[in-house]
Amino acid sequence: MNIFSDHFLLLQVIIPLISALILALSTRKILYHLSLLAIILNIIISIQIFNKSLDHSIIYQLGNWAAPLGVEYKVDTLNAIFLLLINIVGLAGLFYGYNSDELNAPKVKANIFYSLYLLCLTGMLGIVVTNDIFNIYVFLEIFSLSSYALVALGYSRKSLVAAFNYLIIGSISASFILIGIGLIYMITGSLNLTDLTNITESRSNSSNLYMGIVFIIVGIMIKVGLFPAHNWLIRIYEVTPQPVMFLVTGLSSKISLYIIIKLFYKVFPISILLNNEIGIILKFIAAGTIIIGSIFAYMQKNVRTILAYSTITSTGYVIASISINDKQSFIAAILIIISDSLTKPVLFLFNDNYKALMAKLNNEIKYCYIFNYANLIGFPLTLGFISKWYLLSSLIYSSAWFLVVVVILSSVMSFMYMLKIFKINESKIDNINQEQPIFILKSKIIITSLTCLNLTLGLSSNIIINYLQ
Amino acid sequence: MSSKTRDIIILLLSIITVISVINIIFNYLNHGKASLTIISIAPNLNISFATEPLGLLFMLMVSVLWLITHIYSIGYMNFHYQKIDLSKFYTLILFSIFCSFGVALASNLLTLFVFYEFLTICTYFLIVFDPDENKMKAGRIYLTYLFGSSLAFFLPAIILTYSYTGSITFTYGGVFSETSQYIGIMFLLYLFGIAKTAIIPLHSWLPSAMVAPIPVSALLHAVAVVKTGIFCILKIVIYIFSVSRLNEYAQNSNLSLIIQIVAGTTIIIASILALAQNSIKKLLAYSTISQLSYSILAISIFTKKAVIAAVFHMISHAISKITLFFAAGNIYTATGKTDISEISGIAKIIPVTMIAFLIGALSMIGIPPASGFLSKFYIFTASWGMKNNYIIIIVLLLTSLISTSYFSKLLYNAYFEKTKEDISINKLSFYMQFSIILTSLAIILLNIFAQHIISFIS
Repeated sequence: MNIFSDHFLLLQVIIPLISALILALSTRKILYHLSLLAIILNIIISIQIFNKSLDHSIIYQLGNWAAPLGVEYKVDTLNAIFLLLINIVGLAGLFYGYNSDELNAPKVKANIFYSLYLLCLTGMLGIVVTNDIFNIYVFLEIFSLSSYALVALGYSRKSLVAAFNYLIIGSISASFILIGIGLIYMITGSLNLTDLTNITESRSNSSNLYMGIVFIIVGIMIKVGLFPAHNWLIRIYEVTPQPVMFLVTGLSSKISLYIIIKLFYKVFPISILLNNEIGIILKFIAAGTIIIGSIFAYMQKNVRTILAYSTITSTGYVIASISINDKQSFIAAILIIISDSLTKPVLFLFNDNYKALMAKLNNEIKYCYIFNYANLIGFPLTLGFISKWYLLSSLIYSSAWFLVVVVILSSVMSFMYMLKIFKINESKIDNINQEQPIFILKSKIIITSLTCLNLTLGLSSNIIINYLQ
Repeated sequence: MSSKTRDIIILLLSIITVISVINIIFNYLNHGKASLTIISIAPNLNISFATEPLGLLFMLMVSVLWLITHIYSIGYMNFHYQKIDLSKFYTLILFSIFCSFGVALASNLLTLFVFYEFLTICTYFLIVFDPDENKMKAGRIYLTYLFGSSLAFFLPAIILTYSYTGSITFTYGGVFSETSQYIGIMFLLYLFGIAKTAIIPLHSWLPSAMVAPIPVSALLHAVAVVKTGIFCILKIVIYIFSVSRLNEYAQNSNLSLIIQIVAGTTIIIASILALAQNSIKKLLAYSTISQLSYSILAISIFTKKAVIAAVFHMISHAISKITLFFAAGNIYTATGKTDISEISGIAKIIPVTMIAFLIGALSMIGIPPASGFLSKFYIFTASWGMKNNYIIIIVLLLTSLISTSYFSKLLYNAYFEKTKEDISINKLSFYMQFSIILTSLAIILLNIFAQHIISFIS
């Protein structure tokens, strides 16, 4: 056991990577189960990591090369939460897509789908476990490249165009990030994040360092679809095929947000944000994103588009809290990310199968439906409420009054478009084949389990908050 | 479960509730404050309860009126909704009562807010009970106004309070350590955030919610929901800001004046709108809007005496309005009429109901022996010698005049017009007669207990 437990951090990346390779090479159906197995194994390991990280942060040196030279993996409380989140949502998504109609279509090579899915997860997990800024870039590319291919899986003309857009935009943002990393390396001579913290402490007024950070921010902002570069993301959300929905709507932009959070709260000294205009620019962009997101969400007629704009709004919330950069806003950012990535995929799922799920008068499914929307608007006792509470109070503490007003207005708007979604869903015409008892059962399991998780986290957010502090 | 067993079980439940509320009150008088923390959802954010006189009084009022309304609805619902399964309806009513108890016992603003919002949800489902197009529309308006205002003003106000003072627990003497300049803006945020007080321009949910069955309108829209709004304001004034601090603040600012203008406009506009109504229920709804703002008007004086007057007005109005709603329900049950123009000469057919209506109307206008006189008298004396009291006096006199005219229009129609020939009459059940007699007696008896109530609060 000891051999395993020493390598837990590496295993998080290795297990899905190797399974992905196996799946890519073989077309045997029995091997498809491997994909589920790999993620379940990963969840078990990430729970172990979570338990361990309660005491102290876990450090793993790849190939026993010491830190500044070799690559280092490091997990503390922030990373452990993200590991769990990615694995859980990833499992739910794979379970949902597993053996679904889209994959059984004649044109599709199902083994490639599973392989790409696992590769995508590998990239995400890698970004979270690694403590090396260049490694983050590498994993970001792994995750992005596989998600372009996954979006194209829809095979419709629209999804191909969207995937192509995704590819172009993703490459542009990746090059921005790469240039940023290069600049930072030029100044500090190190890629290790712990090392960077120590070095930048003394050189926080260097303009090249500042430029590097700006490049990274711009790159990531294009990637998460912040105002004014949000249009392409909406199109992706509209056409994403169902098996990849959880990955795209629940996780992909959250991972990029994780990078910003990690850099701002854990790596670079706070003075960089406070002394320069970055904070002000971030506030401006956040306000723009929130305003555009909520107004456009209300104007749409398609539920998927509404939800897509709502996702952009919550990304805006996260950026708003990052721009404050204090303890409260850190908690707010994490809580917003958790609640959004647990809620959004479920809402997309509900939207796509509304009639089929609501066909039989099934009360617990109805409660889940209402609960998830309650979470979206921040109804009391949900995770969404606690996160909004923390966001607003940190904004008030730092007297960012304009953002306070924007956030309040957008939460009113979110309530308005929720009513609109209810109305649209009620009038939906039944166009879904209802002869899919297994599919319905599967969706029910996913919905109820994610909702229960969300509910428990909302009621016990005390634990998360204490854990983060 | 058959409808009979269900009715009896709920009746027993409500009797037990009344008894236990009285028990809690005696407990409070003998042993002092009791408190309980259910769950702590985040640092400093607890769901917890505590007893205090104002909340206990509110609980007593809600539980007694719930008991009476239940007796009434046994007659009413079984007459009008024979074919529909009513268990969901009664469950929702129980939930609503639970939520208003939660508001009554809340020991901090978060708990208050949580139950306030849950009450909105429960009553929304009561409004859209047995849904049709009209009810769904009313339900949407209801949710939009109540949720919209609480998301836009109430929640931000709570978070502002928390950020400035670090505490949202109700404490006698307030949580503010000094008279800061933000008190005024925060108070206005609370005032407009709690749209359950139906202050203009956030009032239109109340008339549209009148599509609900009579017992729901009576219990929820004359007692639980709107009174929860007033109660929240009272609790915030006493335990968050503290009356003396607000008074101190109001000395050097226009806060009192602004609230008086808002409340005064509400009272007068709502009364004029009531004058224009033909439907009895709509008339009662607009009259509720105007009467609720009396309490706000009284609060705006910011003295202890005035707050007590507001509390007393809240109770007296609850009992009077519920009587009027029962009377409207009786008229509808007996003759099938809902409009003022259709009820000419009806007093000869249902004399008991119309006498009860007369007593309720007298209380609304403020004529002795009804308790409405006493409550208006208290507001009047509280305003005596205060700055800007002419607004209060003018508003009181003017609206008494307007409400006299709209009630006398109805009563004249009922008593002195000729009875129409084609009216078909259903017999009113014992339950409906009994409960309306009970409430109209309560209106008069409240005068006797006024002194006890006041001494209990102070």
